Amino acid sequence: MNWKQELIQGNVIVFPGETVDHENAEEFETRLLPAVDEAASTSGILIIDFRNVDYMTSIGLRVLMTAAKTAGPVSVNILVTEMNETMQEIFKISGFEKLFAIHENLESALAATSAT
Amino acid sequence: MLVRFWGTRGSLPTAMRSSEVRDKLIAALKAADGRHFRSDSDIEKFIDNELDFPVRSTYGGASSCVELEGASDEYIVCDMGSGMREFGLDAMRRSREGRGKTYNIFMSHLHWDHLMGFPFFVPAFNPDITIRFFGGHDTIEQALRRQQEKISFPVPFDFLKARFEFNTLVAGESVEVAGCRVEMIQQHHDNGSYGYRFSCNGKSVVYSTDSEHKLEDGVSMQRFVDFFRDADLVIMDTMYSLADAVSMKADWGHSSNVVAVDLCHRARARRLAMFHHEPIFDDYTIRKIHLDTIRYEELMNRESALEVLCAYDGLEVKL
Repeated sequence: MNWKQELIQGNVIVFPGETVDHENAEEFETRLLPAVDEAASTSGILIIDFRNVDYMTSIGLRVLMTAAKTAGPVSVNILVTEMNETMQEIFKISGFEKLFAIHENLESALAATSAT
Repeated sequence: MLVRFWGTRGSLPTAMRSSEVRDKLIAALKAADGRHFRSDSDIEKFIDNELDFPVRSTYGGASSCVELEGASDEYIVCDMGSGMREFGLDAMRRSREGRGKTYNIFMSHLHWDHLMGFPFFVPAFNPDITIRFFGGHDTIEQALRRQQEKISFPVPFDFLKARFEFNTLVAGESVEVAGCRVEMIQQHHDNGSYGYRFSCNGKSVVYSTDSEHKLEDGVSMQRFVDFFRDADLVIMDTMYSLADAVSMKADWGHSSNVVAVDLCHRARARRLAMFHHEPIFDDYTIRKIHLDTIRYEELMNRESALEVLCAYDGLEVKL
C-alpha cells in the first residue's frame, strides 16, 4: 500500500495512498496501528489525511474502528481530514461521522491540535 | 420464482401507533393540497405515484417469515416469526384452491422471534398436512415443544395433528427439496445460525439473517462471497449501522447495510433485500436507511450494479 507518514508540529500524520478495500485492509491495519503507538509516545494526536483515498469499504472502516479502540487506552486522539465527497458520504451513511473528529483540511486539523 | 415476505422485523414484532397513522394521513392530505379526485382509480394513481413509501404504506411489524414459490406445489418457508400466522391463513386458502399440502420450513435458528408464529400456524392442526423442518440445529422439535408447554401456551404441541418431520442438515452439503437445490452455510450468531441458498429453475435466492460478519476474518468473508455468488436475490440482515455493528453492538449477532452491499458487490449478486429491521425504527427511519443504502451502492459500484430493495411485510419479488 502506498503510505506516507510524517511528524508535523509533534503530531503523527499518516497519508494512506490508495482506496482501502478487502484486498489491502490488512496492510492498512499493519500500517495504522503502529502509527497509533507512535502518536502515544509523541503528542497524543494522530491525524489521518485521506486526500489520496477515493473510497473505503466496510472492511477499511473496520480498521479505523480498531485504531480508535487501540487509541483510547493510550490516550491518543484520532482526527481525520481531507476527505473527498465520496468519503464524507461513506462516513455519514455508515455512522462513522459520529465516531471521529472530522476536519475539512490538514491546516484546520493542525490548528485544532494547537488549541488543545 | 417468487419470494413473498410475511415478516421482516427483527427481535420483536412491532405495531404502528395511532399517532403514526394520523401523521401519515396529515402528510397525504398535505400532498394532495386540496386536489379533487374523480374516481378511486385517480386516488390510487395519486397514492402510488406521488406519495413516498412511509406515507402511503408501511414496512410492517411482523417478525421474520419469508416464503419462496419454487418449482413444485409444496410450500417453502424460511423462519416462523409472527408473520407465519398470516402466511398459514393465506396458504390454507391456496390449498383449498388446489395447492399442495406439504410445508418445508427452513430455520435460520431457534431464537424466539423466529419461532413465535408457529403456535398460530393453523395448517398444523390439519391431519392431512405434512410439515418438514430443516435446519442446522438438531433441537428444532425441542424448541417448538418448549414454547408450547403449559407454562407458556394453552395448546400443547402434541395437540397438533399434522405429520411432522425434523431434518438436521450439514453446512456445506446440499439437499433437494420441493424442486429446489438447497445449500446451507453456518453463520455467526449466539447459539449459531444458518443461511440458505435456494436454486430453482435457474434462479437463486439466498436467505441470510441473524448473521454477524467479523470483517477482519477474510476467510469467513470470502465464504459468504462465494455463497452469495451471482445470486438473483440476497435477503440479508441489515439491522444496525456499520458504526454500531463494529462498536457498541459488536457480538450482538447482526449485520449492517454497508456490509450487505459490499458482500453483494463482491459476489456480483443482482438484488439485495434489506431485512430484519430494528423494531424501534419507524417507517420514515427505515426509508431513510434504505435511501442511504441505495446511495452507498451508487458510490461503491465499480463493476456490477446491485438493486437495493427494502423488504416489507407483503412485498413480493418475482425473479
